This record gives sequence, C-alpha cells and structure tokens, in this order.
Amino acid sequence: MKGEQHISSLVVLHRPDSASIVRGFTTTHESLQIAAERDCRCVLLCETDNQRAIVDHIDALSLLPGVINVSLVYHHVESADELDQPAMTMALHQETDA
Amino acid sequence: MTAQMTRREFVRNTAVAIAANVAGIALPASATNVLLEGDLTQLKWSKAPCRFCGTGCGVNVAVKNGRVVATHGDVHAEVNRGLNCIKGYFLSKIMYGTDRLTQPLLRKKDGAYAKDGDFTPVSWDEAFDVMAAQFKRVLKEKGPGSVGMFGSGQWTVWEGYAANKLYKAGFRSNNLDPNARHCMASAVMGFMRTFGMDEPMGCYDDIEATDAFVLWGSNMAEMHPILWTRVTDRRLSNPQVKVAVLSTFEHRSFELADIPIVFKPQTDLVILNYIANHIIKSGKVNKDFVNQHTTFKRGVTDIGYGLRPDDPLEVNAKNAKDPTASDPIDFEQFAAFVAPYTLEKAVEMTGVEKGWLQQLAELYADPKTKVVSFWTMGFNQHTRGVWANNMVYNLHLLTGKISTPGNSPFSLTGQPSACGTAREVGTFSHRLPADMLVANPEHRKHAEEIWNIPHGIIQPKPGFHAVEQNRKLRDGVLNAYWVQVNNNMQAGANLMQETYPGYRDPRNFVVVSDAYPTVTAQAADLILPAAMWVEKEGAYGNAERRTQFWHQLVKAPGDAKSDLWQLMEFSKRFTTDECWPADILAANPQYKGKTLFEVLFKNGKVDKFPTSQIEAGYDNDESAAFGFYVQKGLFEEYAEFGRGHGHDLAPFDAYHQARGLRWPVVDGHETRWRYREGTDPYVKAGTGFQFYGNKDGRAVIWALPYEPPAESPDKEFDLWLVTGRVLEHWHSGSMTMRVPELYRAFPQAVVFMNPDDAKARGFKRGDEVRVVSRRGDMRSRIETRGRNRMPPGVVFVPWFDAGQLINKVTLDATDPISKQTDYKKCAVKVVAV
Repeated sequence: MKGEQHISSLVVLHRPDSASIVRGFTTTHESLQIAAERDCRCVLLCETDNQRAIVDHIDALSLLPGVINVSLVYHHVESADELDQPAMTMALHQETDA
Repeated sequence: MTAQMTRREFVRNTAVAIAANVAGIALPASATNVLLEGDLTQLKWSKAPCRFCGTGCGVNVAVKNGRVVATHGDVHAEVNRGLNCIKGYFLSKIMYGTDRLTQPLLRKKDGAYAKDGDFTPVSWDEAFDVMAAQFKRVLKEKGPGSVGMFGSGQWTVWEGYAANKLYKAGFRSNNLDPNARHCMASAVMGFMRTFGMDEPMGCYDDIEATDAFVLWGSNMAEMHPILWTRVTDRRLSNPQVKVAVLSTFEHRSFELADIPIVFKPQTDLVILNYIANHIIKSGKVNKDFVNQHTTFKRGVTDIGYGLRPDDPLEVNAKNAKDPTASDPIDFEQFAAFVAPYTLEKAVEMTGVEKGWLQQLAELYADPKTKVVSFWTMGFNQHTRGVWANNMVYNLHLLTGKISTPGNSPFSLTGQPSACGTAREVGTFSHRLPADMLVANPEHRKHAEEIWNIPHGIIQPKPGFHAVEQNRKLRDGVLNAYWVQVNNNMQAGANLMQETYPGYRDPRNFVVVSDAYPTVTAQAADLILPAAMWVEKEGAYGNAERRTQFWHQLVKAPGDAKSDLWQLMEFSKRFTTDECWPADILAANPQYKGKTLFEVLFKNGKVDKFPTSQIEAGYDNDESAAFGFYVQKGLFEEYAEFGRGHGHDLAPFDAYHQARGLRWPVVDGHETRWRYREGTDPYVKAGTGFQFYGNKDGRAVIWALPYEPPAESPDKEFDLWLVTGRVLEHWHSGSMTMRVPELYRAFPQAVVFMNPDDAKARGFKRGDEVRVVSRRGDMRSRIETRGRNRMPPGVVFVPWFDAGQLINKVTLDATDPISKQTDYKKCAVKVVAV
C-alpha cells in the first residue's frame, strides 16, 4: 500500500517512579504520544508510516529503566489519503493489516 | 459520532479507547467515539485461541477474501483481556511464509521411492501408497513394536485423539509419544505422584488474588508475556505484593524481582528442602491441614539419569530400574529428613546470599502471605524434575496454601495444547485418555469399550517414549515412523549421536507432516504438507484446564491437509486382518475384513453427527471429505472418558460459543479451584479439601534429597550450558522465523556469556566461537550484554535457530521417572573458531 499509515496503541507497565522516563522517551519520538496514564501504566498512541517502526518502538520502550512490560493492543493500517477523509462518508474498501 | 471528524481521528480514538479499556484507565467522554471492528472494514471476525504457547490467549481473527489479514487480542477473553504479545500480534503471518509446503514430497530415484533419492512432488495417493507399503512391511516382518509416531502438544484435541486410536487400537502400538515429553512430562509425573491426578488445581484468577509470586525456573517475561503482564499489574498496583525470581542466570523477569535469586545449577533441590525445613523449624506447619489432607512418603534415591542402559551412570545407579519406588513415612521422619538442609548448608551449596533465602522461605512460611508458585522448563527439564515438582507441592501442602484463591502451585505450559491434547487425551506412550494407563487392565478394558473394539487389542506394555524413540530408530528397532507438528531433529538432545543417524538409517522409513520444510522434514523420506491453525476446525486445552475451540476460517494452501485428515485417510489403507491377531478376530468375526477407518472412525459413534450440524458460514474440509461432522464425533466419544470421572467436558457446541471452559465442567459450570469444598463439585460436603485423585483423598508430601546432575563442568569442559527460548521466537522457530518482524528482532542465536568469562578467554562481544561438548559442537557468536546476564561459569544459548543447532552439544540425560530431557545442564567449553 502506498503512503500507508499505521495507527496503533501500546500499554506500558512501569514502576511508579519511572513515569518520567517513559514521558521523556515520548517527547523525543514524535510518532509516540501518551494518550492516557495512571500510576504505573500508560497508553501510548503510535503513528508511523511502516510496521517495523512499531516493533522498534516496542523494543526501545522495553529497554527503558523501570519499564516492565510493553503490549501492543490495537493496530490499524490504511492510506493517508483515506485516513483524512471525513469518517461518516468513508468508502468501504480500506485495509486492516496485522 | 460527528460528521466533522476525520477517519484518522476515529481510528486514533479506537486505538486509545481499546488500550485504555485493557489497561483499566478511564478516558474522558470526548475520546470514546470509536470504530467498531468489522463495521466499516468488510472483515469477518471470529474467535480463536493463539497458536503459540500454553497461556491460551484469545484472539480475534479477521478474514478478508479467504485470507487472514489481522489478529487482535480478544477483549472478551478472560485469559488476556484484549492484550496480545508480539508473537500473537503477528500470528496471521505464520501461515504465509514463502516456503509453505503445498504438496507431498517423496525421496525418489529412477521413478521409485529410494532412501537416497531426491525429494520429488507426488500425489497424496502415491504418498500414502508408498507409506502404507512401508508400514505394512514393518508390521508383517517385525510386528507393532516397530512402528511409531512422534506427535505434539500443538495437535488439536481431535488430532491427538485420532492418533491415539490409530496407533494404540489400530496398529496395536504404544510407540506414540508427544513432544510434550520434552516440556511437560516431569510436571505430569509430579502431579500424579502427589495428587494422583494430572494438571493444576488452581487457575490464572490466582494472579489477582495472591500476595507473592515465586518463579522457579521460569522466565515468564519472555515465555508467558501476557501472564507476566497480569503478574506485573498485580505487583505494581499492590506494593505489599512480592515477586521472587529464581534462575541459574538473570533474565528479563528479574526486572520485577523483589527477591532475585541466582543459584548454582541443580541446587534448586537444596532450596526447596531448606524452605520445608524452615517451615517446620519456625513452627509454621499448618497442622490441621497436614493431619487431615496429606500423607508422607520417602522416595528411593540414586535413580540414575535416564541415559542408555549400558551407560556407566545407569549401571552404577542403585535404583535406575525402579526409580518410582517409595516407603510410607510420618511427619517426624519427614522433618528429620529435611533437617540437614539448614540455611548455612543452603547458602554453601547454592551460592545464594543468606538474606534472600530467608525472605523467600518466609513467603511460604508466613500464614498471612498467599503464594503462587510458577514454573516451567527450569523445573521440568531437569534430571530430578519430578522431584522438584513434588518438592514445591510439599511447601504448599505443609502450609495448606493450595486450592484457595491466591494459593496455587502452578505449572505453566509451553505449548497450546500440551494439557488439552498431550496430557488429557493421553498421547504419551504409557497413557490412555483421562489419566488412564495402558499398563492397567481395567483402564484398557474401559478404553476398548468406549472405542467399541474387542478386548485384548490395546497392548499392556508402555511404548517407546520420545528419547527412546530416537535411540530405537538409531538401533534399527523402530522402522516405520511418523512425525506430526514438531521439529524433533532440532529439538531433541544430542542430535548428532542419537537423532540424525536413526532418521537416515536405510532400515527406517520416516514420514514428517509439517507446514514448513523444517530440519526434521528435510531429514525424512516422505514429507506431507500440513494445514495449520485456522485452516482447520480445532480445539486446544491451556495450562489452567481451559478447553477452547475455533472454526476453520480459511482454506489451506495447495494440497496441504490437516493432520486429522491425514490420520483418518491413512487408516483406510489397513484392514484389521493386517493389524490385529487372528485369534481376536476369530472370536470377534464382525471386525474381520474391515478397514481401520471403519472400526475406528466409522464406528457408529464418531460418525454420529451429520455435517448439517456445522455452524453456518464456516468451512470444514475434513467433514466434507468424510461425510460426517468429524470433530464433533471424535470429541463426544473422547469426552466419554472423563465425564463423571473428574475430567468432565461440556457438550461440543458449548465451546464454539464460550471463550473456553475450565474442566471439570459439571452442570454447565466450570471449575476454577479443584480439590476444595464449595468450588469443586467432586469434593464431598464436610471434608473441606479432598485430593480425590488418590484413593484416600490425601495428597502426598515427598521426602526427596538433592542429587547431583548427570554432567558438571570440569577442567576441560569448564562451563555450564543452559538452553532455552527468547520472546520473539516460539520453540524451534519454524513459524516465527518466517515472520520478517520477528526474524529481524532476533535473527540468530548467540552465546550469552559473562563479560569476565569472555575476557578471560580473549573474546569480544560479537566474536565467532565454537561451543563444544563431549558430543558435538556448534558455531555461534558471543553476546555479553542484552536481555540475559550470565553469572561466571554459565552460558545460555537459545535453540530457535536452525542454522545454529545447539542440540548437537546437549546431553540426552533425562529424568528417570518422567523420561524428560534435561536441556539446562551439561558441560561445555567455548573456544575460538
């Protein structure tokens, strides 16, 4: 697929005092943002233009001090053009890939 | 929904909302406009359990145009609650490797089968003609003791069941064993010796109820990542919860450890007896529980190492011939037995700091602390693996910490249906379904009645177990051999001496059914292309007794066929006259002249359910081929073994609706904690607990000592070798190495080594080296950093890499009771190339 966009979400479990480390990592990686957080966990929204970048993010996050576990929960891929269409008028031919 | 939003915003919201739901984080209302799977995407979503480990995660599988295009963690699955590990996430890709086998391949020369021929595509007819001729030749010349099969904990329940019938009833050979022998056999024998009944009493719900986790030789962070997420969540959300991690080297699970313990190989046995001694000496024995619900036995010692009988270690072992013998003892004798295992002795033998051992012992001893013990291969792949299992049960039984929420000795499993198929169906060489034994005449009779075959058909003598099968192939005793769903050329220990020679011996005909050309397939004479996972209707049973079903969702590629179809179709080529004794047939003339297919599968029971009962919208290629609902018939016949005997399974159709049910399922209710009144329908009112696997209703506390391993480092071979797995790859890598993202994440095996050990040998990180043992050698590269931190004197090599076969080096020593290989301890040297 040309111009593909991958939108995924990760759940990160970390020691309570490592929240700032995870936050710091996301500020230096613009494809990642913290979408929700609570004490020892957070949800990261990950937007990349290829699938390998997601795996690389998971690997890098796993190696941060105090991070115990990173799980990929949701993944969606389709073309950037289609993603920018209004949601209600979408044609029925987009791809979801694993 | 608002029309102004872009699709991107909806997808983002969906991604975040689902993850937040999984993580238990509340979101503002503005972020809850989400896309529903399938709403807009033309995908058909169905449920299935994951194809990989024994955790049994539920996944949603999306099919588009006959192809699996997506898998997500199933939010309705109790096991994983919407989460997926990285292997599970890439599940759909395992079916689409470019080298998928799509037609039978036979070694041929000059147009005919030849042992030294080249693999040539053939039809199924030709493949089965040649295979049947070879099996018939061996049956005629040498009898049923010379045919055999190596099966799998990845078989579906009905595949294992069909294989069990074909071999034990059809061919009258008990030479059927699953690769679960390599991973679960010690756990099985541990359960049987202590409780008289296989499989855990507790379940995953214990994770959220406990105060302490103890990992005995289990790297859950990499091998059971979803359960580890639940453990992590419990620990981080509840600061009073403690995690103890025990291993012979530091791995990723140590990141969560409050009590990190690296012990000298084999000395886990010392730690176990030290804790038992500590519980007794500190007055923390739960006397009521012990008096009412346990008995004590002392097992024989000096039981050998399961090597070939002429090995000096076997010849010199006093009790190698009867390693299971025991004497009854009482509590005082048990206390005296463990008394020498003092803290000082434990420190000296294990190399562990005193404080950690004391803290660990107190987790078990403190009556206020609920404890879950987890273990996998560190315990089971151990020449005293059965003992280790028995000894951890001792700790839970002495303290009464068992069968109640949060108190659970729990054996984790490595394969998706090691429990459901290998153990419950009884595909081991000594077993029949529902924990029954071929050696027991009553059990054989019962099985023959359910199978509707004459008495005397099932042989009383246990067949060759996994390691013995390789030895008998090499010795030319086992000559017609079928391998399904496993890669034993890569997985079996000591492959150059004990595995490869037998496969390539001209006396032997070896058939391998697989989806990919594994090293085992390449060593075969005939390769049969197999359908995998959702290319067939299936059932798996996970580690917590949960039976899970899935429908066939896509077609297998080319001419690939499921193992079930292969087993049943092959049975058509044999008649009872070719396989059963003349006197039995003379006494039961109605069986004479029938095919094995007719007597085993078209027997009025297995063929009872019409194909019209298959749920609308799903294919079922096996049922279409044979003309009846094959899976339902096999399952319902199989379920007869367990219903009313503590192994009750629900009716077939219930499993296509539920996200799995934990047996025994009685009156529609699953059982979360066995052996306890109120949660297990088999426990009689007023008893409190009943370990009903044993006739007296009591569990056994075993007095067993430390004994040294089969091989230890010496001056020449100066390092311990430990083998095992990594997160990204599942077992021998035959599926995961074909997923580009997983391959790239961990493309080649390495030798994890302590930096000082590397320096002393003049190695730098990345240097190519040879790992050498008395049995063979392999090349790899040094790794001194990364996920595993080795203590001095110990190296770790994962076994997923077919290009670096570490089992050329390992020793085929086994636990003499379970016959499971110890892949965690042998002596090697690492030298420059």
